Amino acid sequence: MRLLFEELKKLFTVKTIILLLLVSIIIYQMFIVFDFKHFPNGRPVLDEFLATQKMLEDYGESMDEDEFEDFKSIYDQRINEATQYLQSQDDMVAAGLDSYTKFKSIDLENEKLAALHNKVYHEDYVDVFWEIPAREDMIERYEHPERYIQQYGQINEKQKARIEELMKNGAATAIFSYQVFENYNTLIKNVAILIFLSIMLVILPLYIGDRRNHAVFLQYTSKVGRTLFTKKLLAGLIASFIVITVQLVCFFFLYKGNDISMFLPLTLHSIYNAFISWYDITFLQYILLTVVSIYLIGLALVLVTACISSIAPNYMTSVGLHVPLAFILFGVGTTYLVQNLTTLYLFKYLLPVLLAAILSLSFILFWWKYKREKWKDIT
Amino acid sequence: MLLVEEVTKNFGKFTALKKINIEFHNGVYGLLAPNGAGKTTLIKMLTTLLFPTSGTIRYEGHDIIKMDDKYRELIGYLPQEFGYYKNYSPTAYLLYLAALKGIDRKTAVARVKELLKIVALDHVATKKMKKFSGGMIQRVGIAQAMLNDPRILILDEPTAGLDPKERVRFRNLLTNLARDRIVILSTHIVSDVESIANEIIMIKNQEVLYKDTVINICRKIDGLVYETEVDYGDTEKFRSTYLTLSEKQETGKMHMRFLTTEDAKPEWKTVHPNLEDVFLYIYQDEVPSAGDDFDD
Ligand SMILES: Nc1ncnc2c1ncn2[C@@H]1O[C@H](COP(=O)(O)OP(=O)(O)OP(=O)(O)O)[C@@H](O)[C@H]1O
Ligand SMILES: [Mg+2]
Repeated sequence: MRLLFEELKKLFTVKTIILLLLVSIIIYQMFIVFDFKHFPNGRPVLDEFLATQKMLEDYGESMDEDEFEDFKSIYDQRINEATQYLQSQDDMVAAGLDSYTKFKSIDLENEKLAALHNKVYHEDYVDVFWEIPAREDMIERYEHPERYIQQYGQINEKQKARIEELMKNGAATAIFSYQVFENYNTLIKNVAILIFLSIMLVILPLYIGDRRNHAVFLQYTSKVGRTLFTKKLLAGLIASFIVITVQLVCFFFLYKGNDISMFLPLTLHSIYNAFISWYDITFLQYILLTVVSIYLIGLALVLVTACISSIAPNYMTSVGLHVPLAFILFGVGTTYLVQNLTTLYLFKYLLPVLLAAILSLSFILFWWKYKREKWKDIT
Repeated sequence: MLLVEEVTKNFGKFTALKKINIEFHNGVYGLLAPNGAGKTTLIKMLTTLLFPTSGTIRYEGHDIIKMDDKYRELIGYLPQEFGYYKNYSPTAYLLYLAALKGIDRKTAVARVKELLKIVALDHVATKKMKKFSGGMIQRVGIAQAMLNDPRILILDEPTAGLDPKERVRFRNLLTNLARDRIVILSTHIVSDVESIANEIIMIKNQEVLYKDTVINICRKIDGLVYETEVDYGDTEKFRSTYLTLSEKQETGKMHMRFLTTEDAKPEWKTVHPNLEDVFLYIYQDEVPSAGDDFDD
């Protein structure tokens, strides 16, 4: 215990902590804050999100035929409101735009009319005019559930069967928001990158430090001896667990600000979402899946980074060896292991198979290194 | 008793030590040899950092590699390159090493305090080692080697960087310690071991050349060491004829100490050889080469 604590202390030096903070702040500023600030991003996306929220409040998890009628009546109401607005505007009436129908069929070639059109949308930002196309789109999607299937283009029998099963089980009436899903997907990828980078920074000096400054001579000739090698790994694992947890807690704390808690218990499978999973999961379960995946990749990463740290002759080489690793991990790694998990596009068992493969490979790598370390000449 | 039996160490094709046999009992052993002779290699095998290519090392009859932590518990080691954390204080660092040595915290705290006093670092016990001088660091190293009150104390060039006053203190310390334990120290500085070592081990051509008391070793060249005075003009010629051991200027002449197997001339005065004479004699034809400075 004492040793573990001592090794942990060496991993979390003041310098390392400051470095971690700096890197986190930079990555948040460059890649993450944007998706918080601009969620939902623009219009009518925002209007669609608000309409979906209202939908959830009014109808619950799904929208049946009757509720859809109600949804449409709200749409009609909004059209009336738009018309009323137009009639209250002298310039609109003067231009002959005294109803929403007329306004909608404006000839945008006509400069004068185009200017008025622009005024409503981009100068006065009249909400109802943004809300109408959003709702229109939602109505259309409800009325044409087959588009849910069509968006997948070329699919094989199994994929087709999966979609049909989902349609039968209520995807056609289930409520969800693709923006919420997309937003989370983008965020979690960048957060995962930040987490993996943090792990690398923390674990990088694990062995190389004591080897470079010759403390290893004292360590390996003391009672604990070469078993310190595994103790250090354990310290590295604990350190990474702490790093992952702290990063995730910070992230989800900020994510709470997106105000999407009502989406958590919903199934992902809805005509209002573009993502299809092989498994019947809710949004919350999906989030947990990404979290589990991040922890597992983190574990594998510690093993690999530890190996590099024990092999590399100096810090430069170590950093050099991490570059391709980071390249793969931050690129395809996060794309397949953190984003769009269990997507219908890919092999059904891809995630568990990939994770198992990565974990066992890194375990084998570390085991090999550990065996060698035991009988190595320490020069 | 620590027993080195037929130990050979190769680094690839290069043989660093060949069929070494040494017996260590309680007392101070001085491992005396020039740079690159294999002192560190031998010491690293005694501390299990290196594994012999062939041969075994036994402590009380047990193979030290099989004894594993039971053996390491018994040793205290000061490496030639003493590794420390510059942001740690000596106290913090010694406590860390005590943890590695499996000494419980309470005992360690008291022991660290005591040791820092012994090596005269108690006044900087909680200062970061960043600003320490080489000699202070070396003393931290000496203290650390004694943390677990080792049965076998192994020191690789422990006096490097110590000032004369500290050297004396250190020698006295070792003499005291050696009463009931094995102390092995390597050095190429003769005066470090001459007065305190019970036995001197000299390595030449990868093999143990001598393992004996200082007196016995000096006896090997008894009657071959002389002193005489030479005119300044003749010093060059003198140097090339005889193996000069030391020289100093004295009242217009050069006072030479030298070694030769030739018959003595009347103006030569026979003197008692010392360990340094033996060292210079044995290693006279060893030309320092680039490789000799290569450590680990
Ligand atoms: N890891 C290694 N690989 C190859 N050769 C080595 C290695 N370690 C030591 N040597 C060689 O073995 C010989 C003995 O080296 P060693 O360090 O034991 O000498 P030493 O007596 O301690 O010298 P010094 O007084 O300079 O410390 C040297 O010639 C050295 O070049
Ligand atoms: Mg050496």
